[in-house]
Amino acid sequence: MGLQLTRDEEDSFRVFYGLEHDRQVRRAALLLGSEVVAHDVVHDAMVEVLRRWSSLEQPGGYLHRAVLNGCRDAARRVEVTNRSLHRLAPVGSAAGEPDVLDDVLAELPFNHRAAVVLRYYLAMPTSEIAAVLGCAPGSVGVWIDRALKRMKEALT
Amino acid sequence: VTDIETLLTDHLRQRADAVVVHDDLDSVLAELVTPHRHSDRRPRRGAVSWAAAAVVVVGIGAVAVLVGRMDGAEPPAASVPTTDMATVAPTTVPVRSLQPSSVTVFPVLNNVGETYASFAVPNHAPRSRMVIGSQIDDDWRDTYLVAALNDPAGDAPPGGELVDVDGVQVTRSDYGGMTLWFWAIGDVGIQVVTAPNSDPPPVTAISARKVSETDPPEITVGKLPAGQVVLAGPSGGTDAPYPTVATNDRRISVEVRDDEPENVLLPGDYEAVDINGDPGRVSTRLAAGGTIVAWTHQGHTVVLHTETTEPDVAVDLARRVDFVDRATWDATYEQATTDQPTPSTAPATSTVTVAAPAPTPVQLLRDMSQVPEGSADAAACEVLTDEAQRVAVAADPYGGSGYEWWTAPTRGGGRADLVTQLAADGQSANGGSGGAGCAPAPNQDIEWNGGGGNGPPRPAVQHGGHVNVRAASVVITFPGQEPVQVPINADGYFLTVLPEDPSGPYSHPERIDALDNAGNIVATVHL
Repeated sequence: MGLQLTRDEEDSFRVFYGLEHDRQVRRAALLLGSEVVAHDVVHDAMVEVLRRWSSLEQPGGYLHRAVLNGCRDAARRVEVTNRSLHRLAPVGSAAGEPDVLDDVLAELPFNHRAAVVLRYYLAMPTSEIAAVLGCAPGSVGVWIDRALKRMKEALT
Repeated sequence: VTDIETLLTDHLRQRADAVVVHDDLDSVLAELVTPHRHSDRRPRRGAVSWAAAAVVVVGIGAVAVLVGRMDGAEPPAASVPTTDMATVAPTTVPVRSLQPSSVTVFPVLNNVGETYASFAVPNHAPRSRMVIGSQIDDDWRDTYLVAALNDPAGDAPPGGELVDVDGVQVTRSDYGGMTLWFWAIGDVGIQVVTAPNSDPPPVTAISARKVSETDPPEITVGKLPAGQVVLAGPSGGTDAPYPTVATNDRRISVEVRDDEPENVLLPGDYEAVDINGDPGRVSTRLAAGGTIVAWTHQGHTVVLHTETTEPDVAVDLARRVDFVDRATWDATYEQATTDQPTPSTAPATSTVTVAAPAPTPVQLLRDMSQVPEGSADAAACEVLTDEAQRVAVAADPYGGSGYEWWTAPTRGGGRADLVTQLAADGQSANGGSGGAGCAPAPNQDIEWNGGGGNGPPRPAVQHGGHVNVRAASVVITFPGQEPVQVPINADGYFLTVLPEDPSGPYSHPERIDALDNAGNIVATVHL
């Protein structure tokens, strides 16, 4: 059963995809530690957006949440199967610090890691992070503080 | 901290820049767009096929627990009474019954292969009821079922909206195809049940006073609107039998009342029906949809509401309701997983098999323990789902099955929270959001947990929290918008879902005030 899209609708989705896909994959990769899984999550989220393309008034916001939820589910599946997170290949200098940060990030619970990424990669304020994650703003601060403390300990 | 923040920001940007992004636009389009352009849709990865096997139904003042599909006939491995239903409040579901590792079945049922439902009658609180309305010919119209409650804070329905009726702040909620109006008069709560879309009750004509802590409060009626009279005087509470019924994924609720059957509110026209020799009534004229059947059983009035709009189906369900005694109700049997030959008749005791259990809120809570094994926090972050409880509920502004807020402690003394939207079956969790704190959080007068929700086409923003001071409601103030008042339940929790987009101002309240019964601000939090 196919989805009937007009040529204009398909064209507009192509534009939307071009604007959003790249950064969503990068964000998902930071959340998941795996480029492969990140592509899968964003792919599925894009499919859901396309499925609702004719009715979504704010597809960007919908995609944002769909990717985050998809990352959460993916992280859960990884946890359930007791697989360790794939770490991204080191970039830039050969210094050891990035690896240590990767280790700490990979060990954080999903919501904690998401809070860190949303704060320090997307520069979102606490209230927005709490809204996106569906948690109390106070929790966001606690999670981030705990993560920073771990990183400092790991670096010293 | 600044140094580590800078380092982390740079690190994340480097990592993000290093990601090699592969464009898969054609693959996305191929999944959905018409076959003449693209190929068939590929299977979803990691998708889990859940089938509903257990359903929770929240009826009018009742908690209903549905249990699993009966496949086998093995006697129970153990009989473990687990839940005193008399102590079950509408907002505390016996969690054990919701988990697939332990389900409850009642041996009186013999329709093998269907889903078994049992319905608690939890509210034995002393109360009094009366019916007021107008009598036309031999029929009653525009009736109100009035109940006086001893504990306004404890008996107030969760969620709902505050409306002004005759200058009185009344909470209006929609339940089971009816509308509940609730307000407090001093230390007595007044609850009125009306047909949907009915006018608000004449609150200034109804008063109540508490006689004692244990006896039902007294209701008095002053000057009623023209044509309205007291149709049935106050009646007290009593024990009731426990109804059970076999059904297949149909959302139903059953309540046993101590009213006379003719006092049961049936909006509009109804038809007289026979329920296993007992006189009954059936009506499909419910604005919220569904069908309601009321009949007598052993001197009690039984009210069944179901989402079906076919009266014959509802009446058939009513005829299939079996009643069990307290001991049977309390009995619990461990789940068996082996398939056994189907018995020709119902055994004295039964074993159930739960097939493909739906993801319940408790399961989602359990999944919040996401700390990798071996991590220092793994033990502290473990969610203790045996202690999980539903602390608040809220209506779906779009008429869905509603929202529930579940909490469970974590082993480290923290708390896991989950706000979930119920699926159409009224029980399984249609997704949810939340988080788990591994360590105890500092006490605050007002804890807020909200702002998340769903985007278009049915935007919804959730706001919930807990108030640690004695208060009756909270007022949530949003920048540039009208404040929203939300009642607080007996345990201090509040939850509401607004039909607003979470990307707008309703996601970010600027302050929350807690008000006492008199409307005085007793606590404030600035967000």
